[in-house]
This record gives sequence, structure tokens and C-alpha cells, in this order.
Amino acid sequence: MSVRLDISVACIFRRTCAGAVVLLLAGSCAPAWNAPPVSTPLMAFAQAPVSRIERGYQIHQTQCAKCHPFEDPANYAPAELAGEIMPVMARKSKLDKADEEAVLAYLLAARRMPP
Amino acid sequence: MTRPRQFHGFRRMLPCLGVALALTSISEAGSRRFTYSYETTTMAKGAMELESWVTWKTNQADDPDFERFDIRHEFEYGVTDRLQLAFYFADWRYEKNADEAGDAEFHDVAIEAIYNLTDPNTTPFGSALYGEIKGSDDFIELEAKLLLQKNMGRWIFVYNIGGAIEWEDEYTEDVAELMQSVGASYQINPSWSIGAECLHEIEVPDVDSIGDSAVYLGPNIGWRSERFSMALTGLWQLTSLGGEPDFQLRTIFAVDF
Repeated sequence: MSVRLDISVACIFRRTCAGAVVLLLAGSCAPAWNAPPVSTPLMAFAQAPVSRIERGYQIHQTQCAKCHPFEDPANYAPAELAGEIMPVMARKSKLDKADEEAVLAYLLAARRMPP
Repeated sequence: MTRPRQFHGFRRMLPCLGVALALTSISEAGSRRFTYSYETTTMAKGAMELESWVTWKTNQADDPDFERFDIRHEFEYGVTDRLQLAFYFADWRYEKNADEAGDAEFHDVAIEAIYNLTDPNTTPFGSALYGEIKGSDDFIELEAKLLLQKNMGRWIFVYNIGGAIEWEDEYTEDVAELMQSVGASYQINPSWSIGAECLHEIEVPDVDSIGDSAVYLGPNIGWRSERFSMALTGLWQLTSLGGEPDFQLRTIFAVDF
């Protein structure tokens, strides 16, 4: 196998690998950006049945997270989530109305969770 | 002097990129972060997307006059939440070099399928299988890949490995290639992501031997909005393999509907 890497390229690769390891470690220690799972503290802020909140969390993980990581809903007003963001995201993810409302109910509960 | 020529070529690309950026900023996106690597996640069932690819290649070391544009128009459709099909309804190529003036020609059509095996958001690693059949009136190419993905918060890491075999010159000659690529991308905010990609292509002249290989490395940037998205990667060749581009730039502009 004639992989024609010269010394400088090998050096670049070593540094790239080292950089990747550092980033992986940093990423592992970084604050979680994952969607908070349905729990007793989260349900304390929920204004919908637990079945709908769980459905919303499941849809977030399997549909929304395909395209983007969890965006902290505390950064958005409830009206913005309900009237602007969710309709657009539901169209892109082909969610039906019930699933859209389940995700919204989950996000509204999650946005009130303390960081 | 070769470098100014490269920049002349790049300057010619800038107006096109500017127009593409202007178009994308009119509205809000798709989901590509990489242009040489694939993610393991597939489109939602029923989702459709139209993509335009432009890949610009130069080879200043061998032929300062060499310049090639590969242009692809692709339609993607989510058959199920795990299976995505794509149809490349027109691959065009424009090429010029020291011996020949520029000429544009139709190159091929293709069909591609990606089947998601595991979800990177609900399992430790995402995985998917990729298959592609490409051809025209004088060649046919089969390509297969294994796609892997690891999500860590705002970081996404992907690794693709696979190979392609092509029967060309009216199906009389066969050539093969192995490839692997790795990419990392960090999502800065809902619209922008940045990262890097590395591509390793290996020639396989016949089944008994492995030929020369070329390694490319460079940064990428992704932008998305409600309906439009764009990803751009510039790759420099780290090896010194003649006959292969020493720099290539790929941009993918997508609109979903």
C-alpha cells in the first residue's frame, strides 16, 4: 500500500488527531445540551398529562434532534414557541397536529426547569 | 506564477457564492453540515428537498490552467423515517486545461439510498448504509458506504468508509476506489455551524493491489434557515499525488418543500 504521506503531513495528522481528542474530552466535560428527559422535576412544571409530555420528548429525540441539538426553550417566549417556531419545525419534520402539540407541551415544561 | 491564477479562479467563484448567500438570507433550512461526508440521520417521511452541488477543482502543481466544475442537481425524498432516496437528475461537468479550452458536458444520472440503522440521538452511535448507482451511455458505477455518527451536544462527528467500482469506456474497463472521510461540526447557533472535514481516497487498480492515495483536509461551514440551507467545504490536498486536485471547494445549496 503506497500511502505517500511525507513527514509534514504525518505531523499535521498527529496534531489533527490530538486536536480531535482534546475536543472530544472538552465536549465530554461541557455542559449538556441534551434535552432533559421526562422526570418528576420536569413534570412539576408541566401543564399537560405525562403521556403527552413523554410523547413530546420522544418526538424531539427522534425527529427534531435529527437536524439540530436541543435548543434551550428558556431562550424563547411561550408565544414565540407556539406561534412561530413550532409551526415551522412541524412542517419541516412532517409532524401532525397532535405530535406538534406534544412537543410544544414538552418544551413549555422544559423551559421552566431551572438550568 | 501560479498562485495568482488560483486566486483569479477563486475570484470568479465569489460572485456566485455571493448570490447564493444572498438568496439563502432571504428566507430561513435543510440540515447539511458536511459536503464530503454524510450524516446517518435521514429525512422525515414525506419530506422533500432539492439540492444543487458545485465542486470546483484546481491542480496548480500539475497544470495551472486546469479547472473543473462538477455540478449536480439532486432531488431527495424521505420514503420512511429511516429510508431516504435521492435522484441525481443531472450531473454536469465543465473542464479546461492547458491543452483544451473549457467545455461543458452532461456526465451522468444516479440514484442513491440511505438507510438509517441506529439513531445517534437515542443510541450511543448513529449508523446507516449508503448505496448509489450512477451511469450514462458509456459507464456505470456502483458505490457503497457505511456511515457512522456520534453526537455530543452541539458537536457532531461523522465517519464514512466505503468503495466504488466503475465500468467505463462503454463498460469495457473497470476501475475501483476506496474512500474514507471524517468530519466534525460544531453548531454555534440554530443557523450556523462550523467544522472540518478530512477525505482519504485510495485508487484500486485491480483486486490484488492498492494504488496511490490522496488525503485532503479543510474547514467547512453550514448555514440553514426555514427553507434554505447551504454548506461549504474547502479541501487542500495534504499528499503530493499528481493528477489529482490540489484544492477543491464544494458548496451545496438546498431548498426543502
